[in-house]
Amino acid sequence: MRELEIGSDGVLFSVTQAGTEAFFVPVIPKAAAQALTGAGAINVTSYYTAVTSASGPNALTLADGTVKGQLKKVQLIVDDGGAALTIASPVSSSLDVVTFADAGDFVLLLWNGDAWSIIEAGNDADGATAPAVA
Amino acid sequence: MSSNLHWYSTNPTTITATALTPVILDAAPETLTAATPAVSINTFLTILDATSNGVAATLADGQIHGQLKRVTAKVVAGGTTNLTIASAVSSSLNVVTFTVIGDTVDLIWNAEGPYWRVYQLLDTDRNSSTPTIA
Repeated sequence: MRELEIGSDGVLFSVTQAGTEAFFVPVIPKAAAQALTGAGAINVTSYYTAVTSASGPNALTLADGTVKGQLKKVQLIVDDGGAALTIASPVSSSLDVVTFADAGDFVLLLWNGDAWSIIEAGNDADGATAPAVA
Repeated sequence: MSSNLHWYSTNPTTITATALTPVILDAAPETLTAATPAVSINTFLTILDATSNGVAATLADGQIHGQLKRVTAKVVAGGTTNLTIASAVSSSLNVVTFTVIGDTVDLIWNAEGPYWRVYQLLDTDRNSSTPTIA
């Protein structure tokens, strides 16, 4: 017999500290990665989407997440003109478009229940550059 | 507030490791360029940029049990880039030295230690080098 204890206050998935920041238990969908060529919708049912741009820049979209703490990684793996990802619900209107310019560019996003927050941006081909966010 | 999971079994000898529920912050990454900066514990990702000078960063105690923290070196050309962990698992594991672009350390905060444990050293551009820890 096993028992799972989630803490006396019963809060597990969303923990708020004093101040404006919030902590989340990261949640990853159990689903195969998405491979997307050209323009289209980034799904919210998988953790990882690999994008192959074709005669870009290609327009990509990201709808709202489904579970608080959901993680989503989007990466340009083949660059042919780049791609621009528009986030439907960003934490700020000045952080709603990610421009992928080079193969390896990626963003890691966290769904906080209301918006996607970019918690990491980088390029795992060169280790130094990153897609632009504006 | 507690976010740790406790597992019980009729055969406790099968469970020997401490398991932490990972917790991640909803906050934008930070980039540090100063010579002796303090790494924020209010973000998941901190980027060290040693373009102009070496960066000797410090990491204070975490805020919540299971908090995840990633520190990565974007540029190392300006000099030695390292991270000193105030509360490390061991005094022999409290300084991380970044030698090439993309060197990255991932840590998790165990409030019951309390200490930061390095659970992964990697190079995001996937060459053969990783940070060293001593």
